[in-house]
Amino acid sequence: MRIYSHFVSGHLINQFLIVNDETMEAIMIDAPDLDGNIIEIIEKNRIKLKGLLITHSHEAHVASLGTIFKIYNPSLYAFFDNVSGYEAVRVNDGDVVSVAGMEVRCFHIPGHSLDSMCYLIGSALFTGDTLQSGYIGQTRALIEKELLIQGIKEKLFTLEDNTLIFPAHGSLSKIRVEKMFNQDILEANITIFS
Amino acid sequence: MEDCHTYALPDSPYCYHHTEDKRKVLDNLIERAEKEKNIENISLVNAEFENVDFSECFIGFNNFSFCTFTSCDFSASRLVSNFFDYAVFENCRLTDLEARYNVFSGAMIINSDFSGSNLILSSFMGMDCYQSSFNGTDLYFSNFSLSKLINTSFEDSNLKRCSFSSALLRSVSFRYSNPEEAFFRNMKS
Repeated sequence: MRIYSHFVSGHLINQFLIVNDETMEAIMIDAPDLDGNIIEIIEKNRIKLKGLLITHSHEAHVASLGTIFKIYNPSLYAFFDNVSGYEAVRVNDGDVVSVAGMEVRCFHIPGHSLDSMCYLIGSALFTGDTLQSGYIGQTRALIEKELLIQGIKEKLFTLEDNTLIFPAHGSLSKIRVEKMFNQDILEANITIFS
Repeated sequence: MEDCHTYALPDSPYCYHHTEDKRKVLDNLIERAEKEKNIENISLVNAEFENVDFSECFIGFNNFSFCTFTSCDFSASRLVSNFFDYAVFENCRLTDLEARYNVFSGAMIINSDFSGSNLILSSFMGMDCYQSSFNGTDLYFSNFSLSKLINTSFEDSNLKRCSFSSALLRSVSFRYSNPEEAFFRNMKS
């Protein structure tokens, strides 16, 4: 398995392409503004885009769905069965699906948005906006923040400490690092959960 | 090893800690750094490096968690998506790096020089940093939250979207930089 990362400057989003080394089939995480670089990675390496996993359907994360479907024909996976008018395969918490010959474990962690999903492929966890390096996704109300942190603690912090985190914004991380240094969660332990 | 969760070495069922000939693994890596100038997809946890020349190398997608680097030279290297979490860098030269997506969280950096480096999208969370220099660096979108920075300088650096939240800063200089574009919250004294 090989992971290509690309920083999309339009919405400051990290876009990831996970490639199965044996078949050169790939999964793309989210569809932010599409620029030439990610297309170049796909074309130059003769990658076959088989799956598109949506972490949540905020505009910045699905902006290029139309363009992607004009060029490629990947299966779309998301929490809802329709993303911006495109039919998706519905995935829910605990589901394990096979995409591009790779096993994808799905986690539904609402809080930042109702349809927020995280995906574990091998030992790489793609967290979207749910869990970022040192932060959690923005929430509009305290109850959503509580729900989000509870979901992260119960579903993600129970994964192996060496699991690598690939968030939609900012730098990479590991479960061990987030348990120790995630400021939003550390603060919430005092203000919400104490 | 059933109860070992550390990533295995390439072409081996064992991780560095459980491999029989640690010295051979280290020697191979050092030779690759010095001759091929390329280190990719390796997981070496808790290894020790002293006086190794990693300069002008491509170092990508490696896991060097808990490693110790003493008097090592990484100058003018290209570092992409490496994990140096909880590593120790002492008297190291990390100048003129072209680096992105690297993780230095929980690391200890002593008397080391990052000046002139491009360190965008890097995590330095919870790091302890003493007598080091980040002068002339690009720290766009990097994260120093919860870190302890003592006698460290960030002069003439790009701090746009860089976070120093809940960091402890003592004798830290931001001269000629743009701290107004960085995030400072819950600062410790």
